[in-house]
Amino acid sequence: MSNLFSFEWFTLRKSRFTYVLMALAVLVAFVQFFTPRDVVSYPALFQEQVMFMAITILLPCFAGLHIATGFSQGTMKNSVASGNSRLRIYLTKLWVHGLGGIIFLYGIPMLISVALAFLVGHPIAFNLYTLQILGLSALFIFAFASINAFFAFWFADNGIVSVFLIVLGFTPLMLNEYPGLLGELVTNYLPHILSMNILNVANFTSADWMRMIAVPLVTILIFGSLGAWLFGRKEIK
Amino acid sequence: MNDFILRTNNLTKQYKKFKANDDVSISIPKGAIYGLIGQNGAGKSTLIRLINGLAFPSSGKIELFRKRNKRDLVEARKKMGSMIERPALFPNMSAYDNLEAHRLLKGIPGKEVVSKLLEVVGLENTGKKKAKNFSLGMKQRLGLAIALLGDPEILILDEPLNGLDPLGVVEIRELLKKLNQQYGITILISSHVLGELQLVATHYGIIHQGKLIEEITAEALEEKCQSYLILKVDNTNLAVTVLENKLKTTAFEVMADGVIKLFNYVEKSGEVSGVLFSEGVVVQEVSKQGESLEDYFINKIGGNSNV
Repeated sequence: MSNLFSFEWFTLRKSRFTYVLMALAVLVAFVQFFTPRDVVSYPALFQEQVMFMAITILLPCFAGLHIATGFSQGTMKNSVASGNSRLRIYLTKLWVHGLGGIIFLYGIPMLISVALAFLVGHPIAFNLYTLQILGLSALFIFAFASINAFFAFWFADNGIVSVFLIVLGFTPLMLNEYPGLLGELVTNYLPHILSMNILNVANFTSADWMRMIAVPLVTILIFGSLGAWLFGRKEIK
Repeated sequence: MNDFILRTNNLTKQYKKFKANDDVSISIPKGAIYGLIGQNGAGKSTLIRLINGLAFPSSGKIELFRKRNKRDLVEARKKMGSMIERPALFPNMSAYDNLEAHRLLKGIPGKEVVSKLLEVVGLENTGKKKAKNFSLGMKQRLGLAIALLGDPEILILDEPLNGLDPLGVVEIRELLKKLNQQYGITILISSHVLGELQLVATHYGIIHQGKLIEEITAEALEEKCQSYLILKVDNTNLAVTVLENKLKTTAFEVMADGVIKLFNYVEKSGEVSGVLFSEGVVVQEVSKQGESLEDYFINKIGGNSNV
């Protein structure tokens, strides 16, 4: 599978969209760092807005553009006809989206944040609390990547995929306000809403922990399997 | 027995009620240049997409390097290079980067192969020019270079001559001949440019409305397309006797309307007319005729009304 990773990495390095994402990541880091807050710590600086952007804008665009462009440019034809199995192609794309999300949304801003902290002289707390937040965030980013990859492979059209995924990112945030069972289900079991609770990790009960780990894992399993199944049967035009 | 690299067995691809490919069985021997001929929408691209694993057959089998099951076919495609419908390129990358990306995709070791292939297709001087700014001919050549990555044993090219200027057509034709003759690469090529196909193909498959109408070698086709003399005479029976006894030939065919097709003496129509006249046969018309690949193809698919 290493050849597929090398291929994805190479195409990402050569894609303009990668550099737009990097610029956005740098911007987020600066804006967040210089936003006045009571407590200056890395998780507090980034969590809320970064997760929001991950769900609603950055990851969907990343998935939509990167995967669907492969279909529209025809390069997906080359991938499928290259002697690599469709399952491996799909899983590689899924991994690259997850890792890409983590690098762009956390890796780059974190490095800049640390650099700025040293320059400005802020203390940055790297403790268990921070690691728990980062770990859970990575899990949720992979869950979003699996959802986005599924729809990107389904629609296979950059424009439709990007718009659909952005709307899909916002919708649970609105449904969250609905009373009754629907609102309850959305609040307790949709990764889009649950991910907003990551900052409260210090107050999690065992049940919360279970839900915060199980929901993204089940999401990855369901959407990953559905996506692989769908791509295995999809005809490439 | 022929060593076939690629075979399809009663391959059918059905979209609802429409059969894009209907019971297509082709056999491509090792070392052949197989020309797939058909009109737009005849089913050529569908067949090529099925072979490449981009679409799935409704029924029938594909056999590539003697591999038939799904997993083995995926593996066998590593020995295949293809360009389907149009070259699939990264528009914002240079020719070099496009090839490098595909080299990585196929897991081919050694970067030097990229420069070598750029030279083979004549794109070594394109520098950092992006593929989106290439002419169609340059894109076709880059697509061909991508297909050649990994020293494939079979090349599958769907309309590779599209958009090429006359010089480009000659270059690609010569390149294909070289790849076939020097490197032994088997080639499946679909094209509308029948005249060009005739210059390279060793085998043909004629496909019409999803069905394979005929599979024929270049030699057999040449025989069928050979030139002949058309003789219209006042007494067909006497003319036949004269041809057999005086000209000592049986290489003729008498048509239903009494017209004789004479397959030898093609360049000696004067001598034939003279002998017939001297034996009392009045020759009303004598003309040289013969079918080109184009004529043959048109006749095969049912005449001009189908073109």
